[in-house]
Parts: sequence; structure tokens; C-alpha cells
Amino acid sequence: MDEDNKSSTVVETPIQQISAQTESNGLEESSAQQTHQWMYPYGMSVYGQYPGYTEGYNHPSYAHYYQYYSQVGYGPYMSFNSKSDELDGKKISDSDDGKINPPLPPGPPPPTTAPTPTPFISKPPIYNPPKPFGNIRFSFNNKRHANDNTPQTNSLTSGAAKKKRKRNKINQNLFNQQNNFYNNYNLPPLPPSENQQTKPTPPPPEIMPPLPPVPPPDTSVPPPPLPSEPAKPIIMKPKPNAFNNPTDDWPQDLKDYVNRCYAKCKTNIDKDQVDIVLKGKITQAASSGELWVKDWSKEPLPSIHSERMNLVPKKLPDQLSHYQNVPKKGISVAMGARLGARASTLRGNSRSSSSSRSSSRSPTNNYKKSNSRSPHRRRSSSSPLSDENYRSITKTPKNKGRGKLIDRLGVTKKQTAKQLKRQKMKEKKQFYTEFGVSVEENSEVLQQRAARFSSGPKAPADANVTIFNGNGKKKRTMFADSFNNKFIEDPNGDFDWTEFHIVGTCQDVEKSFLRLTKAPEACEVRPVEVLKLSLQNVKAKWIEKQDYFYACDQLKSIRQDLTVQGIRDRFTVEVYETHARIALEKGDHEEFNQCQTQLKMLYSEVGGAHRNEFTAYRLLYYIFTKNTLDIMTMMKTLSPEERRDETIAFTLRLRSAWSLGNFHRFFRLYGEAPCMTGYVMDWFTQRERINYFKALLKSYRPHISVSNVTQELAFKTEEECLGFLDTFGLTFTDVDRTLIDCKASMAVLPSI
Amino acid sequence: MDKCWRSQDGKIIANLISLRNDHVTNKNLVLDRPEAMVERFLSNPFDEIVTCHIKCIHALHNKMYLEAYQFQSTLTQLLTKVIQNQREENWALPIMYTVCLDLRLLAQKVEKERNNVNDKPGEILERAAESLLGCFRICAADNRSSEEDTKRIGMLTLVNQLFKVYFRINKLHLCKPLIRAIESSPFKESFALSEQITYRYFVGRKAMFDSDYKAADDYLTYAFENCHRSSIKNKRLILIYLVPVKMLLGYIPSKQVLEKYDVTQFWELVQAVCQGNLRLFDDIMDKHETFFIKCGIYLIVEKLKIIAYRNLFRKVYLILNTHQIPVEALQSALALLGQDDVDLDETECIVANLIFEGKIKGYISRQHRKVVVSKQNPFPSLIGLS
Repeated sequence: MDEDNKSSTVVETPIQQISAQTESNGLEESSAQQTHQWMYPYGMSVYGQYPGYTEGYNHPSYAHYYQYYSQVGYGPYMSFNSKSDELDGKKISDSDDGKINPPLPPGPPPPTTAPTPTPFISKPPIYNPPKPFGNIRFSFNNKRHANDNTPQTNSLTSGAAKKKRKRNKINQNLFNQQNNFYNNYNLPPLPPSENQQTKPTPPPPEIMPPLPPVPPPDTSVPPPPLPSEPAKPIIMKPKPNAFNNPTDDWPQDLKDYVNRCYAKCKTNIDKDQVDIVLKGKITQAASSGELWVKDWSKEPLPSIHSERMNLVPKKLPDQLSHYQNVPKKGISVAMGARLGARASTLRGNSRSSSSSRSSSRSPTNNYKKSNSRSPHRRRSSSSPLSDENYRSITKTPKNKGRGKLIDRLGVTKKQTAKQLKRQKMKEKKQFYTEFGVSVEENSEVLQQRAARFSSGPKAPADANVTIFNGNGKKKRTMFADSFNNKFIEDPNGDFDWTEFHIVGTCQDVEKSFLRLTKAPEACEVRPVEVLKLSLQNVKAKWIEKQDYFYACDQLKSIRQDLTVQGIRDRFTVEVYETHARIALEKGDHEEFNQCQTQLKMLYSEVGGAHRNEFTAYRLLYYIFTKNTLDIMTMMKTLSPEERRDETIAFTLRLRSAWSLGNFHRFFRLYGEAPCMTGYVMDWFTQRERINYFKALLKSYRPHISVSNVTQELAFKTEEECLGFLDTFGLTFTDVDRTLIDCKASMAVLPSI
Repeated sequence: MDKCWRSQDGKIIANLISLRNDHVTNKNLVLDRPEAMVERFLSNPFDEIVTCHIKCIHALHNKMYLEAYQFQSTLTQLLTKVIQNQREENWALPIMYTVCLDLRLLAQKVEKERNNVNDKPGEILERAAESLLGCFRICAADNRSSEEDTKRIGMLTLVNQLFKVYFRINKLHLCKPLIRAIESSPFKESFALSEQITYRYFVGRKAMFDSDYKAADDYLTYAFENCHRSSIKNKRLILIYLVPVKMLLGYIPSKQVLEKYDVTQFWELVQAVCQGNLRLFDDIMDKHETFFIKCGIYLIVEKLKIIAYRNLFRKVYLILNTHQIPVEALQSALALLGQDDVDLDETECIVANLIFEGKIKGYISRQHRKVVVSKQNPFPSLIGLS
């Protein structure tokens, strides 16, 4: 669980997504700058000095990564589905789609108007028979079909679906009323969501809306709007007889059914579970108007904990192999990852992290889980047909209708309330792992239940998850956290999608930098583990070949992937340090500036061993840019300890010499520059040499020897010095050019 | 208030809407939901403004500064819209001044209260600056009204508010367009004197940071001379920047002035520079480093060392009474005053710089290791050099 504690440092602070987009300028600039051969010979020896170059990032546990999730997160879930797969598709209304976190719209979602967890967005449920599964454009929907195997669920929540909606004007008109109904229907749950946070005892089941019998939703006649507040009654009484005392509003067979369900229970856990499942079903039925229509006697009994325990291992291999068949860069993975981040946020407290990981493998289910009130996911995902479909779709190369993720990448500011939540989350996790996926109701209920079960036994799976999850989990937890916060605080629909990052799935170690012009696709973004390999690869290649263009390109793409995924940890620091060093060596100050700006922020967020060193470089960079204001600010903030640091002390001395025009001292210090400061100084030594030479020329009479100038300007040889002086058109007193005639050369002074 | 609103008395409303007025401490106004009450008395859009104001007071009362800031920010935006829709009238400007000032003060307060590591410093102030800029644009764009009623007269007040924010968050480059707008304004001379002084104070500081000492001198001198004699605090602030600038240009402030405005840190500095006492100079730099750095004048004060070199070398010249000063003599003088790590070459370098800058007339002879100074006025007065 300490994973969670650490997680607070991972993605907490805002990142500047722009930086990823604006960092291509210096790409071609690998100008061969003067280098300090005597200090920083290229090649291995350089890196010996900087451990950052050689640190390895091997994560042995990584190999188990995906596999593990398929087992833990998805397995039990599927098995449960298979049990209850025939559990009517019909009674499940699409109305919950509003609750589903819609896939990203094709355009950048404006944070305020973007699809929100609140169900205000109109989503016309389409009741026409399902489209053939080959519909590539809306693979997302198709996937849902594939897994659902339910014709009604033509979820049109995605951006693509919106487009489709436009085209299907007729459909829309036809279902407009329906739509209204659903909007109405969807409205009520929100206020309770707020209340339930604070109120431990929600309305008892008796206030279940006494719904008039309504025709099944596949008629286009909309049912009358429901009374708003009890639309989502949440039963918190753990006792089964809460359900055994139904009001007269319940049909007899439903009562019987409920009784049967409870009869099945063996343990308290079972009861609670059944409690939840039943309520989900009844609520669902009530909301879709099937409460009376439905033949409850035929309703399958919900899977219970004790039973399921035996089932899980059986189903597992199937699922596993199924998902291992998914092509590496396949769409489902990509989509899944993207959705995963979001779905998990919506699910928030509905499941343990194992489920959130499974999300990256099973987007469809995840999607539905996010709508935890809806029993969609119970539908037969285990039927062979759906599996076939699913597989075929995952191979579909096109995936239109993705939203701009970049808009969500920006600021991830966590509020303090979130920290408080984290504790809650842990508790929930324990509980939900215990109950696995069968828990099905809306997240509010889960949250409340979590309170009861906070001391419940911890499933072994959970522990494993913690071990294997690494970053992904941390982040998800945070998403969930932040979502919860938002969800509770923000029922009006101001949901800020910029808080969420995608999780990449690309496995390429090498990837060229390409400026993002649109939202990044998850399949084009590499996860941290791959990036660590990439960094090692770049370092190795750099040591070997010194190909700056290649290194810069690769590092930029690593940086971009990190930015896109909102990863800000020690590894990010290392990437930027590496790039900064390479840029330093090659005199690419634009790239260096980008890196050091990021590093400055990263150090304050996550710290780093080379902080002082790079602080010194930054000060030197300010000298290079003659940014006295920033120098001033920096001197304000330097602590006495930092001032004592060798590199920083050196730069401070240098700054003083530079500021006073004490060139002699300046160039003397230049000769003893520690670390890589010499490289930064190279950027402005030429400028200062010219300044100093002008002073020399004006103040010395009658002449000054080239050897003196060589010494004063810290040139290594007189030839080099003469090469520098040649550009000015000076007058020499002798043919050997050892003495500069200062007076005669004064004429050229203004042009120097 | 309603009456004032109708009679368009900006000043009284400004007082009533101010967060610094006495009424803020009135317990009766600490209300959580003032909407209903306000609606009874006031009409749209003024009711919204007052509601925001009361909410802000409520937040302040509970020490929730961020919330208070947000309400004040909303208030500013509401007021911006109101003022934008007022054609040919500028009576509401005092309200805007008050609201903007409160907004900035609140933002500063919030910044001070925030100590979360993950909060970007200056973020709130930046947002405040955006709101202020919104007001500024309205004023600047109001160029169709007649001269008496134009809102452009309010520009300078807003610019000064913005300066204060920008200087605080170290974004001086953002001042440039504002300065341009003011300099090109036809009302340049008709702005209130106090605002002009504030404006020049900031522009002078900016010029100083840009190493444009001449301009800095002009602006700061104007500000200092026109600043009301009773506002000692402001005069002191101006002096902190004016003294180093003046000294760099060769003007030495009198002790009385420095004492009057409680900036005696400079007096020792003046002495060290005048005497060429480098040891004292270094000591002062150490002693008052925090003060100099806090005021942002460390780098300028540091440059005074060059003047101290010049004065020291002049003393050596006067003592030796020769036009050919051995470099060794200069070096030993430096070493005597604590600069013992300076070798002959470095001494030459210092002299070379002084010659280059015109502070010494003469030349260095490398062969003889001598500084040959001009027979006429070898150490010209610093005044009029640059």
C-alpha cells in the first residue's frame, strides 16, 4: 500500500504540455561548438562522471505486467459475466449512457463543456438493431456490441457517435422524446451523489419509485419522466430483509426472486453482495419501466461470493489467451489504455486497482463498469460469438472518433481534499478486491459500502496488484481520486478533462520525434517501462556514435511521451538531465533551455541528486542570456547550503567577475570550470573575449603581444588566438604577427 | 447604495464596495447567502456586484482567502462588463480602481497564504493581472467618448496596479506594452500626479534593471521630487533605487537625505566608494547583502565597486604624484585593502577596463608594467561621462 503513499509525488503538479509541442526548434542545431577536450573528452569517460548516464532502469517485474492484469482484473469479471450473461439485455436501458464517461469527442473537449460524468448531455439511444460488426469507423461502439451481444446497446456516447447522430437525423428525431426521457432520467442521481457522501444512511428501499408499468423501451414511445429523487434508491442496510419487505409496488415474482437470492447466501459477504446486485437490477428495471413487465421468476440468480470463488480459476485461461491474442499495437489496447484512465476515474471507487488495470485490456467492459449502475456488463461477454467479434474488431486498424487527449493533458493539480480521499481509497480497494467484479451498482453505493468494509479482509490478489502495478496504478488511483473529488464537488458538469492523462501502449524502443498536431494516440505513446529502455538505448548510442541529431530526436520523443502521459518522477528528471547534458555538449542552447526550465520545476516537485549542478548551469545560462533580473531572483532564492556547493560557488564567483568586467578573473575561472559548466561558458566566452579584447586594444600602448592576448583570453594556442583576431583586420607591428599595434588598430575598434 | 448608483456617484460606491472600508468589520454583513437580501434592495446588475462583495467579506471573515479572491475576481469581471456598457460616462472609474486594488491586495494575500509546494508561485497574481488587464483594455479602447468622459483617463491607475503585480512576479517584460500605451496616450500629462509618480517609479526601476541608468535617473528623480513630502515611505522606496543609480552616474547623496529616509545602509557605501576603500566595500556588501538582494539592487550596487577602484587608483596616483604608475603600486594598494588574490595581470585588467570606460585617461605599457596616465585630468569627473 505504500505505493499509494508514493503516488502523491507522481503526477501531482501541472505540467506544461506545450513544452512538448514547442520543442522542435533546436532540432537542427547541432552546431559544432568549441568543446573542452581537456575536460570533457567525448565518449565513455564523460559518462563516467555522470551517473545519470549509466543508471539502468530494469524492471524485472515488468514482464508480468499485462498478463497479471488479465488474470486478476479481468478474469473474475468475465467469469461473473458468463454466469449472468443471459440476464436480460432488454431491461437494460441505454439511459445510463449518460453516466458513462463518453469516449472523447473528435474535437478538443473544452474543459467546461466536455462530456462530463453528469448525464446532461443528450444521447439519443438508438433502438435499431445492431449494426453489422464490421463497421469500422465506430469501432468503439462495435466493440461494445461485441462484448455485450446486446442489440440495444448501440451506445452513441462517443464523439464518433455524435457524428453519426448528425447523419442519422431521422433517427434522432424519432428518438428525440426518448432522449428527453433519458435526460430526465439521468438527472436525479446526481444530487444523491452529493448527499450520500455525507449521509451514511440513504433512503431506504421503500421509496423506490412506484413506477407505472411502462412498455419496454424498444418501442419508440417514451415512458413518462420518472419522479426524480428516488430514481436511484440506495440501500445501505446490510440486512437482506430490507429487501424482503418490499412495498406493494413490487410485483410478487420480484419479491420471490429477491427471497430466492437471499436464500442462496451463505455468508454475510454474500448477502451484501446480493444486496447490491439486486438493487442494481431492481433499480434498473424500475428505471426502464420493466419492473412489472419482467418475468422475475426467470431471472437468473446473481452470482455470489462463495460460488464465484470456485469459478474464477476455471474461466481464467480462456480470457487470458483471448487477450493475449490482441495484437500489440492493436486498437483495443490503445483504446483501452485511453479509456482506462478515464474509466477508472469514473469508476473511482467501484473496484480495486486490479480492475483499473484490466481496463487497459478490456476497454469495453471497463467502459460499462464506469457506468456502475447499469448491468450492461453482465451481458454475455463469454459467448463465443462476442469473442469472435471482439477479436475481429481489435484488429481493425482504423479508429476514428477519438477525442483530443492533449486537452486533458495539461494541469493536473490535486487539491488537498484529494489527499484525504486517498485514505478512503485504500479502504475501498480492500473491499472491492474482495468482492471482485460482481459488485454492481453505482459508485456512491460502493463508497458507502466501503465505509462498512473498511476493515474487511484483504484479498491476496490485491497485494499482488500492489506489487506489480507500479506507476500505472498510482496514477489511476489518483485519477480516481481526482474524479471523486470532481464528481462530488462538481455536479454541474464542469468536469475538467485536462486532469487526465493517457497511458501509452507503444512498445517501440526507438521513436522519432514528431510535433504533435493532434491528440496523441495511445498506441503511439510508449509507457514508462519502454521509455526506460529507450533512454538506455539513446545513451548507449550516444556514447557509441555521438550522433546528436539522433540523440536529440530520440530524447525529444521520450520527453514528449512522458509529457503526454503526465509522468513526472525521477525518471523524467533523468531524461531531462541526459538531454540537457547532451545539448550542453553540443551547444544546443535552445534544447538546453527547455530542459533546464523543466528540470527547475521537476526538482522542486520530485527532487534530484544533480539539482545543484543544474542550478549552477541555470545561473550560467542566465549570464549567457544576460538576464540580470533572473540572476537577481536566483540569488534571492539560493540558500546558504546551496551557495556552499562547489559548482554553485564557482558560478557565483564567475558571475561576480563577469558583472564587474573582471575579464582576467573570468577567463581564469573559465580554465578551472567544474562539471559541465565549461560547456555553458563556451556559449558566451566568445562574446566576453571580444569585450575584453576591445578593452585591451584601447588601453594598451604602444602594442600588445599576441602571446599576452592568448593568455588573457584563455586561448589554448597562439594560432587559435590569431584565428580569433584575424576576423578583426588588425594592424601588426611585425610580419610575424606577434605584436598588435594598438594605436593603428584603433580604427577597427568600432567594427569589432 | 441604490441611491448612489442612480445618482452615479462613483466615489461613494467605491467606498461602499471597498474591502478596506470600516463596514467590512461589521458583523451584520457576514452573511453566507446574501442573494435574497441584496435582491430586495438593489437592481440588476448592481445586485450581483454587491452580492459578490458580501460573499467576499464572508470569506474574508472566515479567513478563506482563496475563496475571497475568487469572489472578488468575479466581482471584477461583473464590474468590467458594467463599465464596458457604460457609454460616454466614466463616473464608475473610482469603483473600478477600488475593486482592482482590492483584487490585487487579495491576490497578494492569497499568495502569501499559500505555501503548498505544488502551487506555482505567482499563479494567483497572474490571474489577477489578467483581470486587471481586462479592465485596462476597456479603458484603453474607449476612444470615442469625449475628453471629459473618457475612460482612458483610468488607464494609468490600472497600469500602475499591473506594474505592481508584474514586479512582484518578476515579469517585467510584460510592462513594455503598458509603458508604450501610456507614453503614446494623449492624456499623458493629465493623469493624476500621484499616479504619474507611481508610474515613473516603476518605469525608472525597470530602466535600472535594463541597465539604462540615465533614463532610470530621469524617471526616479521626477518621482522623488514630485512625491508628496509627507509620504516618507514612498520617498524612501524611490530613494533605494535612486541612490545607486545616482552614484553610478557620479552623484553622491548627502548624509542628511539618507538619514532622513532611513536608508543609512547607503551611507557606509558612499564612504567606501568615495574613499576607494574596497575592504569596507566588501564588508558592506556582505553585511547588507540581504537588503540589497531584497530590493533587487545588489547587482547595481556591486557595480559601484568599479567606481571604488577608480577612486583608489586616483589616490595612488596622487600619492605617487607621477604620470607613470607602476602596476605593482596599484596591486599592493589592492592587496592592502583585502584584494589579496589579485595578481598583476588582473590589476592590469581592472585598469584596462577603467581606461576603456573612460574613467581613467591614459594607457598601459605592457613592457614596463606601468600605467601611463594623461597629464591633463587623468581621472575625469564621473559626471557627464556616460
